[in-house]
Amino acid sequence: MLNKSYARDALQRAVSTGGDFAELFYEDTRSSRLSQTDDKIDTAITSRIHGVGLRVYQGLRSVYVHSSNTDYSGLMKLADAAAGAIGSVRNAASDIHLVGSVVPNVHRIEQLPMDVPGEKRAALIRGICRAIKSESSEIAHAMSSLWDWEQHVTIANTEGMFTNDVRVYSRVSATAVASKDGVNQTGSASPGGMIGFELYETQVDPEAIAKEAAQQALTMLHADFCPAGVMPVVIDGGFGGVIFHEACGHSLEATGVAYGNSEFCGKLGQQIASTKVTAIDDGTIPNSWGSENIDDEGTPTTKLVLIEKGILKNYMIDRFNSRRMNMPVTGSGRRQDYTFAPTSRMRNTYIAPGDDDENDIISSMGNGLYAKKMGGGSVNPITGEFNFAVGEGYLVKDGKIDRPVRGATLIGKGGQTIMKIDMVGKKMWMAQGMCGSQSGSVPTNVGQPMIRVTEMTVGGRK
Amino acid sequence: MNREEFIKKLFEGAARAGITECEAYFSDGESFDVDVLDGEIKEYSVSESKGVCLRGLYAGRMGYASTQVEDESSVDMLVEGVKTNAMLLETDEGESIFEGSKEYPQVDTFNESILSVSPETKIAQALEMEELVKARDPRVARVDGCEISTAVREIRIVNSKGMDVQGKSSSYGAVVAPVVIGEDGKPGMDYQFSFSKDPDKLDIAGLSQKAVDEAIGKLGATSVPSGQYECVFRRDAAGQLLRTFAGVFSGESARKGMSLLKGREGEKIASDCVTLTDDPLLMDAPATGAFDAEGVARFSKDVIKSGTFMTLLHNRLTAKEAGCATTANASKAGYSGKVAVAPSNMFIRPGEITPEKLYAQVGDGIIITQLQGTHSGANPISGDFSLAAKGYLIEAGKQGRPVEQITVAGNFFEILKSIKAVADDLEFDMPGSSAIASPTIYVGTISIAGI
Repeated sequence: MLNKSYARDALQRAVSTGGDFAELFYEDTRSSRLSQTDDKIDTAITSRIHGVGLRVYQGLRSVYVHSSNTDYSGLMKLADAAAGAIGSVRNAASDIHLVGSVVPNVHRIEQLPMDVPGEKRAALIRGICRAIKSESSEIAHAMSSLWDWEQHVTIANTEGMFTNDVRVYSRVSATAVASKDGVNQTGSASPGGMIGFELYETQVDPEAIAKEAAQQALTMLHADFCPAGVMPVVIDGGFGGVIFHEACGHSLEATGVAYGNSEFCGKLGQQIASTKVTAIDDGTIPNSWGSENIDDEGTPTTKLVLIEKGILKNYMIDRFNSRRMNMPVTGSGRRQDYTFAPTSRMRNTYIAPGDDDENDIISSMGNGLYAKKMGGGSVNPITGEFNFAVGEGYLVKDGKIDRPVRGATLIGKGGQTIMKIDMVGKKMWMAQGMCGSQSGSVPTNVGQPMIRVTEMTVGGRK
Repeated sequence: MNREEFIKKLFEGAARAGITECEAYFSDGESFDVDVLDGEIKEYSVSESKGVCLRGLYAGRMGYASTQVEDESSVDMLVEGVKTNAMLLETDEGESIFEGSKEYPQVDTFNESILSVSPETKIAQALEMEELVKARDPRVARVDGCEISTAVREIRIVNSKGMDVQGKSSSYGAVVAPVVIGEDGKPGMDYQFSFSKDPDKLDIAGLSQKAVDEAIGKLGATSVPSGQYECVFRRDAAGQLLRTFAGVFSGESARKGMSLLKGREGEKIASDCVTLTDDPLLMDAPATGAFDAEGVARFSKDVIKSGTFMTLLHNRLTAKEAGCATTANASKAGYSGKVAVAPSNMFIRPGEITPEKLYAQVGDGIIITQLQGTHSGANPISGDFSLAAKGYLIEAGKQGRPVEQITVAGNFFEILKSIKAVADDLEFDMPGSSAIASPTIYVGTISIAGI
């Protein structure tokens, strides 16, 4: 843990050349990863990340320095490096008084992953691989990984903050490869949470995720290529929420908005989406993959309404960009680890449940594509152009699911696509992902009920 | 505790714990980065990083553990970690620690002068680059990133079999991303980067010009009707495509049954004009280095020679299982990763015609300049892809209007076979310990989805 008086000395020195704010982020993280391929456990790795990042602001300038040396001399060296980059004249800075505060933990952990015996962890992924294989003789490969980490952070700043938090994450993955006549198709499922090993006893059924991965691979193995063209698209709930994450979520982060680099700049209070769309970014959901007690700047996380019935309500704002935007922070400052300066990021982001019946959504669509399971995607926030892969898709003919298709990609521009959402289902659920951006890779949830987009460009090989 | 002492304690601790062979992999780095906006410093960062990974054989299996703290407590943590992790493994492949190569090639990867460039100089370069970008065209609205960055990295691998190798590299680079606004008020952008081990090779004027011209060139882009098009992948997009599917050449993927190239050495898998080379000794290329992640002396090899598949890339373990010699392509994802397989500098050998002449050969078709979503829209095993893309039309043999909001779909293995021509414009730009690049290639007919 970071010594309070060391922190005070380092912060004081960091602002001694004209800086108006400084913040220390100390981290000690232990992680472990266990993987099995087919019938053998082939990876077992444990590691420790340890270091400190120091940020100093002077107006709209930001200096970030970090090091894995966290003793007193290391902290002072960092402070000098940051102060030297801000200015050359040393002034006597006013005294900083750090006040320790205890953050209430809303994410109860029953079994710390680090305390779970290796054999018990191994048994879990062994069972998953076995279950994947048992689905069909067409399953060529089964893989499963167990990944967990425990991050201890201390955040201190020149406004007097001195606070600690512990984040415990657990995640398991099941990946199936189905193969026939030289053709391979992949299916996967990878649930996780800000939770301990109890995840696998209370929320996740290992057999069920094995089956889900295997069935996806098998379905796609027997699917034909997707035809290309413009058509109505129904996107199912859960990981389908990646469409909102990519198409809109990134463009609502201050990282782009503060610099005019987003199609949603200056549109607060305006209609940016169809009236069917209410979207929320919530960092407070207990034990949820994208949650935290406090963000990586020490601000308590919030439940933030981004869009309400199509009207833009809020952006996600971190501390640095809040200065440029003259708007308050939203508890959205996140970073992969101490080697990254934090910036505004999504947490658990979802489209809220609507009032359309799921059966009606498909039966009234005519001919189009039903994307049951989405793959990943990416977006250019400046232009809003996004793309994402359909992991498991079906062609719909006269309102009826006709046959599976593979290799489909959905592309579009965020602002146009969310205007074209004409139906939103009743049942919402979320799925886990790792989101990569300026401050590294962080756990985020995406979610939505089943939605329909009146027309989208579908890429395919036919 | 100094490093020599740490290594001694680590190896002693490992031996006491019953670890029969072990190896420590050290990575130390220093980096500097400055990003400017509107003539002012926006972000400035300086970092120091270090990490050590211990791997060792316990009961015949190779366990791994890593940390960023080199002290007494870490010795115990690493040794215990290696032992505990080894016990969980079920692989019984006869892994071993390497005793070292007899000779190592001489490579030039570090330029000392990088250390004497002051932060003020780098800041001035970033500011000048922003000025150059703005001056290039009145449609430039701002920059979304205008950075100068430098890095020095040192790797040392030392083991209980007496091997002790180290290498040092420097990198001096720039990234610039202009945002331009078209007559219709719609934004467009581009980003370009350039890295070299030598500070004086940086050409910020050329880089700024290229970035602005690219961004302007794409303004007013629209989609095209869906259909089959004669298609060229410009060098940037061709490099992206090759990076996306580089895993098919990995002996590790093959060993796991996840490469369709397994056991197909000697077979014709690409058209005659394709030679794919992995050359870790290339001068001033990003991934150049004398030894791989197991300490094996590196060398150049053709993966595909005039269309014939010559070899998969191997480390010692995958080579042993395949019954051949290692190609010295052992890699590690960061210091903490498991020893895996990756290309060094891998590239399609350039042909003799310019991209312009290649467009003339095509007549009417499409140039793909950028692929999007390569991490999700491609199946690295089957080679199938369906990706969002941007580019230009080719009209009567010349580059025509810009194109966007399209997807391009196909299969990597089929493309290898259908490549009709390779241009002469090979260039490495992306930094990284694995660098993959291609010249512009004419791939024949391909399926495009648009409007």
